[in-house]
Amino acid sequence: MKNKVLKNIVVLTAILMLVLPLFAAGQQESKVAQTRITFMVHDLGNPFWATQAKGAQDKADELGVKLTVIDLQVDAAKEINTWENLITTKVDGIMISCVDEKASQAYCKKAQDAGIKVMAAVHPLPGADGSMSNDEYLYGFLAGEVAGKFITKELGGVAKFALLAADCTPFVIPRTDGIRDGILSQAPQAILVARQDAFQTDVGMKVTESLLQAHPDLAVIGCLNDDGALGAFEAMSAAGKNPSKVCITGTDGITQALEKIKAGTMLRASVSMAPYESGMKEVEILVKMINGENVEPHQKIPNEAITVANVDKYLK
Amino acid sequence: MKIKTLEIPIKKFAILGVLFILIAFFTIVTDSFLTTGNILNIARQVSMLGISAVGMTCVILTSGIDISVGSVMGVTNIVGALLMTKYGMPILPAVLITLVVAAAVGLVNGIFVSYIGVPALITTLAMMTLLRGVTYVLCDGLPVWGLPDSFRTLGQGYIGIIPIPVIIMFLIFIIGWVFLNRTKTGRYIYGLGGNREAVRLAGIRTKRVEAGVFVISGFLTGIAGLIMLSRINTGQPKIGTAFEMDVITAVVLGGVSVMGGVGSILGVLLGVFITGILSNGMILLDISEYYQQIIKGVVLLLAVTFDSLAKRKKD
Repeated sequence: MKNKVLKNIVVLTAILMLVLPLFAAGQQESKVAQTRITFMVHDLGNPFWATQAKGAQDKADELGVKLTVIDLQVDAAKEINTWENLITTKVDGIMISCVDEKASQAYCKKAQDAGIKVMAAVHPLPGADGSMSNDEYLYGFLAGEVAGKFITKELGGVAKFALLAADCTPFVIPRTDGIRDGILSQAPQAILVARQDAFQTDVGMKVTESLLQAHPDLAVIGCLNDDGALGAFEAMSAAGKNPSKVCITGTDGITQALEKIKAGTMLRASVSMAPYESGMKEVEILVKMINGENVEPHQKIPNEAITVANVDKYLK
Repeated sequence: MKIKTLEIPIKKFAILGVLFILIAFFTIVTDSFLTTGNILNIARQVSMLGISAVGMTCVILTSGIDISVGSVMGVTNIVGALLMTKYGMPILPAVLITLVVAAAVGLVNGIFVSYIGVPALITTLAMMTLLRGVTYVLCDGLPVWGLPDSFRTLGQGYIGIIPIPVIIMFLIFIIGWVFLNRTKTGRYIYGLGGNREAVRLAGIRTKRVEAGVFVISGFLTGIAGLIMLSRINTGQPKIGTAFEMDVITAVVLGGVSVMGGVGSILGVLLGVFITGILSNGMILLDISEYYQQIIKGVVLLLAVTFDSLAKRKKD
């Protein structure tokens, strides 16, 4: 009996030893003194972050820097563990799109004390050495303006609108406020009928279906992101709404939404935060800081409303 | 066996009470709740939850648990979408392959739980994590779109005024009811949770039944995943995150004992509708997300308390 257990352990170990190198084989052999940086990504399941991580990876490859991407899965506990691990393993630089900026602040200081450069990626992190930051309010406002103009031009200035938000993430509350104010700046008589959390496609669809039950004449939906907007789009389409009398807007400029904008559907606008370029830029700034080169550490992400008029520029 | 059949009407009564209170409340405070359109809307929204809940009921009745259903939904979403877009497969074979994948995941769960003896919670926890990773790898973390237009029928179509997902859900509930109440295998499933040793001594191949319920759970969740894919018309790798919690909540609300052996499929149908009515009604009232979560928690606690009290009175 004991022999059998022992035998199993030996066989298992042998299998592991045979298999593990296969996983490692794909990875580049690390040169001595190669710069190592880690990107703690807010949520890799979100195309915006996946695209940004890809931009970062491509830039890192170009610069010959070893980049490791870690998915925080919107989990603050994982964020803290990762900070601790990275500080222990002494990477050269950390890029992070925080889940919890308050929790991260203390670790940012510790990392800096350990000689690690810290770069805030899109989400703010006070005290970081560098940052690519987004003006959340403006980001939403630009989308809201498009919707507001639509109300004034196509709906005679009066329409019911709803906001699909993510108020459970305090950091993006200003974005939804911006959407609201953007709409009202162009169409002061528009009526806000609901503000509900819905930043995933399935939830966006579900919430919109229910909102249509309460407000069958709902015409405009300003969404926190394109994922939610795509759900709102499916719900409005399935409800048989007249596409020329409906306006849905999102933000983030993900390809699927851009194709809908280009096709002239009721999904009419998004806002670009240039995730791929931002990812590249973040790595560039971080590496320059590590090497002690001269660089402006805090930079703003260029935002622009994307409509049918300029969508081709963003559809690659 | 006799004691069980006596318990069920009381349990159902408690759940039915909660359901009626909710319906009455939302009917009074909103004027759009009790309309044919909204009822069908709710039914359509809970259809995926309901379909998966039938499978979960079978698992929990054997005193098991399957927390991998959320990830199964994610993986079927992406596999189905990839087969139809990247691999250009026609709808029918793509659907069949996706369902085979979902059932295969269930089979792996079942083999580990039943034949190797790893606890169900651990097996399906590992599967949940593993599958989510596989899903991200399959699609590079990016959504998959460009599905054939006719595929929308599954999730967005109607027969008469009844949405197709609702019809599928009710069919599965009927089959589930017949299966659990009128077949030998159904009896064994109850027996496994009630008195495992007795079932085994009766010469039943318990391992096969125990593994089988996971296949049912995987397969049904696969159907739910395909309906979700058709509804949102995009393969989303994140879909189904925390879905397992909704499913377990609905099943427990429906009066199925987590200890196994006790519970009825009709109660689960009520549990599913309570979940859907709550979330729909609160959106109609434009209640903020923070309070929605509190209210959902309180209702779950109340329903389960009613249930325990009713049962204690009986004892």
